[in-house]
Amino acid sequence: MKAVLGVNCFLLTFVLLGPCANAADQVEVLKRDVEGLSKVKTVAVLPVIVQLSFEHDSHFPDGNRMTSRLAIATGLPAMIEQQMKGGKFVVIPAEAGALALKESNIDPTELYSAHANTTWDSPAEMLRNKSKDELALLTSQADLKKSPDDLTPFQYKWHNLPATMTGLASFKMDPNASLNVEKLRAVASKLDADAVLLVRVTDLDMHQSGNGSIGLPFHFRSRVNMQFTLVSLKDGTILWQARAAGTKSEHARPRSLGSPQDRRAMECAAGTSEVLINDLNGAGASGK
Amino acid sequence: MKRMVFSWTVALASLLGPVYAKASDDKVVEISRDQAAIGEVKTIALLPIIVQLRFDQTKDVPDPTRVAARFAVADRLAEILDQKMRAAKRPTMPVEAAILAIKARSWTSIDTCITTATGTWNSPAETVRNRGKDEVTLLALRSAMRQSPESVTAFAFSWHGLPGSRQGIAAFHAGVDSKPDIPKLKELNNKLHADAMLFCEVSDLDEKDLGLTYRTTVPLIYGIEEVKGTRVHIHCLLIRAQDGAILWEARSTGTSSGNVADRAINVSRQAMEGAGRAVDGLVSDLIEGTGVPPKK
Repeated sequence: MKAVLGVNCFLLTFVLLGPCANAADQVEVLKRDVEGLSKVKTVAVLPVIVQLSFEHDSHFPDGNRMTSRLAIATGLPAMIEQQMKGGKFVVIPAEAGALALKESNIDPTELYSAHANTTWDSPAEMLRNKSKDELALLTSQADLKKSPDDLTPFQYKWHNLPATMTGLASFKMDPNASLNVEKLRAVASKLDADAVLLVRVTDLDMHQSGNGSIGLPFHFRSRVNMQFTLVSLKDGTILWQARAAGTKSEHARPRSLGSPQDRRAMECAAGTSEVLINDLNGAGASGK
Repeated sequence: MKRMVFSWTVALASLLGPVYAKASDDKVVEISRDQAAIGEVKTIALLPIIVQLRFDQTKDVPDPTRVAARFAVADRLAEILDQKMRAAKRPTMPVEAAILAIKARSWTSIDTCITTATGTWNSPAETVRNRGKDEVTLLALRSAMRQSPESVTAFAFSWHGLPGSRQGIAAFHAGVDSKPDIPKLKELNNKLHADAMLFCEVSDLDEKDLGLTYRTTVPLIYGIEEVKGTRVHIHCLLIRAQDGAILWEARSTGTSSGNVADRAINVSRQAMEGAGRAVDGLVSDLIEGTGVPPKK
């Protein structure tokens, strides 16, 4: 009797918890120039820029969460290319944007008007955690707090990885980032496209709760905020700008850690980018 | 008395914290080298990194987490190689140039390898799914491929919840290296104009025992646990663009330290760490012929 009851309770736990859930993504359109968009035929996707903000979390960024940001920055352009295929615009391979930037010797972060007091050789602030991961900022956190709408480039270096990630840091999560039109023009000359799509991952939040037992199984919640900007390469005007937040919630079975962190972040980012692309194509948001 | 000994042991181990054994047997095996010809090479084009998966294991669909880790390595490896080559004063052409040249011909990166195919991507020879709805399609039947140990075919892996798929080389026996399709590479070089092309593949990714450590095994219970690192195997070839001659060929392994708080959470990070070590040895071998990673 006890065994049957135990099995039933065990099964009930799974039925009640369910495997995973995606919350509806909401698109907030900041600008839409319908006439300008109608003239765009070819679009090039530029490398994804990740952003750090210190408004809600002034601690040293977690190394694993930063690798998830790196996974998004690396994998998302190809996914956006995939999602844009068959849509309103002809999309140029994501590598074309990356190559144009490399040939122009421009870092993707330079496409935004970022505030920099110093250079990478002597950054304004250098932070280290216990594992010796390093975060270099070209404007100190204190200065960023004084002018919350400012962006500054950051460089993150993992102690055990041969990779360095650059991105933008700010105090506010959603600062009014303006584009560096001069740099965009330099890139435009190397791209055979009418417009470029700039993608910024403004926030990535990942929570884990539970202890892996039957009563308290692991629960993961990922949340990503993204902003897409379509800029005309003819005159540097913003044709469309929108932002969206997507969440993914997942329960994992006892003694299992569910799908790994990077994959959860990627799934969340891919879902959010899909609703943004749908909005760009004029189909409106299609929250899952 | 027993209780006291136990308490002291727990206290001492807690104070010591986790202890990790370091991997020391990472190595580079140089298969061939034409030193005179390497000296004549000025421009090297980096080809997109190939991912190899082995399908001779018992599972129908390889572990999606580990497949993702291989692709994470492949995605970062080109940049890691570029950085290391630049540091060694032998800069390479960006990998994006080769990818664009491949896409311009409506090929994919695996078209640069010799593969056996009885199907096409529209009608693959075999499609396998796991319970999580991750899917792998193969261009040749597994049963047929097992009969020819040296042959490889192409696979496409699509993860449930992620758009698109990633393609790679499917091998059915251990230690099978992908072979570049020289005529196609020569055709590709008509656009790249390089003296040589660097062809690399992530040929395997496995776990390696690094020793024992005292750490959390089950939540809230401390105990002895075996520490496993992720070992990445990389195989590289330097091919002369003019005639397709192989100027240099080497295999290298790199193992992560295992020193990541929650290993299961981030296999990709461990794999990248291992790949960095493997590339250190490979670049050193290519440039200096030593095969010994530079001391830090």
